[in-house]
Amino acid sequence: MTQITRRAALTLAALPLAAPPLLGQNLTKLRVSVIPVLDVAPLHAAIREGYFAAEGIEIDTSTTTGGATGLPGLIAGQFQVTFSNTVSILLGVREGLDFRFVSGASRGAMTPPDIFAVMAKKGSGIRSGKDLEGKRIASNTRNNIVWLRGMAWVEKTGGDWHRVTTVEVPFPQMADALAGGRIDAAILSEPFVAGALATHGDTLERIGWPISETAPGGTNAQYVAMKDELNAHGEVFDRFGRALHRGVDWVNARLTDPVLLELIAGFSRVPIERLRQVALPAYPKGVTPGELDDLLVSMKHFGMTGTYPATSSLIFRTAAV
Amino acid sequence: MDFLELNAVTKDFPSRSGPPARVMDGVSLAVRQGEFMAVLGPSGCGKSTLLQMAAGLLPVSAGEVRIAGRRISAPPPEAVYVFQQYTRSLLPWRNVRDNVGFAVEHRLGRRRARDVAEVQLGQVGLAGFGDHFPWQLSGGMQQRVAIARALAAEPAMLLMDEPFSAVDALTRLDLQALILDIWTRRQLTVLLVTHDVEEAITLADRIAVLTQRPASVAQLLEVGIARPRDPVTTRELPRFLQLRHQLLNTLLARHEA
Amino acid sequence: MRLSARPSSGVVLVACLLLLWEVSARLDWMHTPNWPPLTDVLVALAHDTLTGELPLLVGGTLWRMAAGLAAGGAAGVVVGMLFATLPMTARLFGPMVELVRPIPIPAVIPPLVLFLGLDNTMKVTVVALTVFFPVLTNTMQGVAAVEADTLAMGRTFGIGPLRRALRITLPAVLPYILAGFRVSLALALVVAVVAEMIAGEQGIGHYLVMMQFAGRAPEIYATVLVLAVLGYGLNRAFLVMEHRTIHWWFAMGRQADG
Repeated sequence: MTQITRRAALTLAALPLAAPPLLGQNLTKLRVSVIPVLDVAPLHAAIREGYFAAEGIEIDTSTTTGGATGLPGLIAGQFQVTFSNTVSILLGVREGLDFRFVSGASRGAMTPPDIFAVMAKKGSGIRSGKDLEGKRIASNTRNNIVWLRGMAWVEKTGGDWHRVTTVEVPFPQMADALAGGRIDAAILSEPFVAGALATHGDTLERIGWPISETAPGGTNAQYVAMKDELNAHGEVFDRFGRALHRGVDWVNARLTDPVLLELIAGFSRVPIERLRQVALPAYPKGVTPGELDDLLVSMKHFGMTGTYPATSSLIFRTAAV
Repeated sequence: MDFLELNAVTKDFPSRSGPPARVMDGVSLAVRQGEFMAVLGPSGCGKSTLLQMAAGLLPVSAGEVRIAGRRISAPPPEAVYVFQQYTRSLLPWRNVRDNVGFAVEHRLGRRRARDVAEVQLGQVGLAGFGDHFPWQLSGGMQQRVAIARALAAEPAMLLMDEPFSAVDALTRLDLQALILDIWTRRQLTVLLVTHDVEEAITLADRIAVLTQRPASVAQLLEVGIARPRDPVTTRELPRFLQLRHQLLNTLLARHEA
Repeated sequence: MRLSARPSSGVVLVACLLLLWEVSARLDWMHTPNWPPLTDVLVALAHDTLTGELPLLVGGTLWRMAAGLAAGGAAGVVVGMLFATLPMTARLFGPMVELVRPIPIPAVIPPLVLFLGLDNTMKVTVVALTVFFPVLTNTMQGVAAVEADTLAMGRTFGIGPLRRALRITLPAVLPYILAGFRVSLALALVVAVVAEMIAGEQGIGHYLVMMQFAGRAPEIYATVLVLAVLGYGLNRAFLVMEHRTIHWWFAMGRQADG
């Protein structure tokens, strides 16, 4: 009850702040490609709290389960904004695609618990990257942030990543594949880590934190748009960034508040009791050249070589905060 | 007066390799108004081809077909073709009434076509069978439906392609009697193609005998048996037996040659 | 095909399998929470049905499927009739059709997304493509099977080409067309769901993906159940419709399954 009244009060308070001519008329419609993960909580918060509406923007989210259609759909103009992991974005940029960062989305924590975990079967004797040589590790996709962090962990813990076989397994199937012995380890992201521990806690265990052990606070995912769109309608994206960042503030102010978990449960459909066990990412507003450069070093080290433009040129003004 | 004239009609069919195959070579034949003519020939000699050209269903390669004095190149309204295979020419998705009505509903509309159909069904002894579907009827009844449909179009001439060859012997006698009755009452002109010598003698005024391919007219005989003819007693007449002897000899000789 | 609904040994087998499902999940034979008991699945199914969420999603999926069936089927019939009646068009477009036909439909979804977006246009097109080819080939086969005598019969009564096509060829080919639809029906549902799974927030396919990501096994199996029942029901309904529409075909004991 108190939450509802508070929310109502917030919404009312937001009304006078809105640019009056934008209210109720000709909302600019933006289609945003998202993945149903914890990282997009600020976007949903901003939608629910009316921050986008206050900026004269209507957000239409399109949920995809991976980068399969998100970035291609952005290129094709199906979306104006796409949420994606940083590695996939930078690989696209390397291929000459004009992605520009319009906002940060998520980063790993400085200390455990991470939003990623390496898991193995209890009693399998696998504790490190060294133990995984000649064995099979599951990643949801190759050459994305999950895989990169996983390989960095393998190397950091004494293993030769060239000698570890990567198997592509969708997140929802990883715990069963691991428990069934079809893979030797898996790199999971939240909420699948919490899910695996809840359902297979007796057989599976967490053996590593791939972000905080290899790149504490490392970058994870951002929102990108196409350069031409930004040049043509920069003002719309300014409004988008403002609203989204109010959503970030809303989330960051409630990191220990049950309302945040209720919000996440609402859009992701993950049962709330499971969300209570989940490690949340950090929710940054901006993107820094430094975090991108750090990631590029790691990407090149793990085989994603090539020529990348200066990272500072990839950051639109809305993300330069 | 000649109602149907075939003047030096020639037909070539294209063949996969080599020159076109000639199936008919300069056939001339005239059917008088009101006459019943039968065409006899060994199987595969092109009897049906001849009939289809007479009906305007198949173009001639050379020569001409005239009906009621007019040179034709498409099916003329005066003549209707009755097919050998009633199972192929009747529409299985239509009941008997609508099958008969099909002949005229493009001209009269569906309602009046149904009235016409009821009358014609009575004429062929199928009153009350309008709601049946063709596949619910015997072969002989189905051919009666096909005849009723042909009559519904009010043609002056029927071109019949072995219409009774697919039914049993008794039914065939029945249908022969029916067609004689209709021919007399309606004063139709009929050109009937058959391989059945007895059928030709029983029904026709004149009989044209075709040669093997390429077909031409080998013989043209006057039957000369008085009418009305009864399908049973006609077969016992000396003239019938004499004609049968002569025709069978001709056909067999040609067959062996 | 008998349409009577008498309980058969097949029904008993299904009941036994469902019972085995419940028991195996309750006793955790599979050692995984991703194999929920049937009763849990039914509870999830009932819940999301009563909230109106599932009926709305199923309705959306069925609508897209029906639109795709209609569009692809109509195109298949028209093109099939054209190919069969004008050999020139078959020579011109036939090779292209043969080239495109074997491509698995899910493989063309990503490029279609680029051209047609993520919404109904793309999804309906994907279903239409799925239906188009079976209906096309069946239509061509059907037109080829129309007896020359039947068409000549139309001509001898002075019936024009258009009326012959509509009143003789089309009814004669209808059993083949319907067989094409029947073959595509199950595939159309699958493809509609696959298209929904790949992108956009529409239909039961999207629901399935969401539940998979949320780790809600009962909802996932509820979806599977719904799809199984839908597939079965659609096929049954189609058979009844088919037997009514072309009763003469079945009465004559013909088959057109190609």
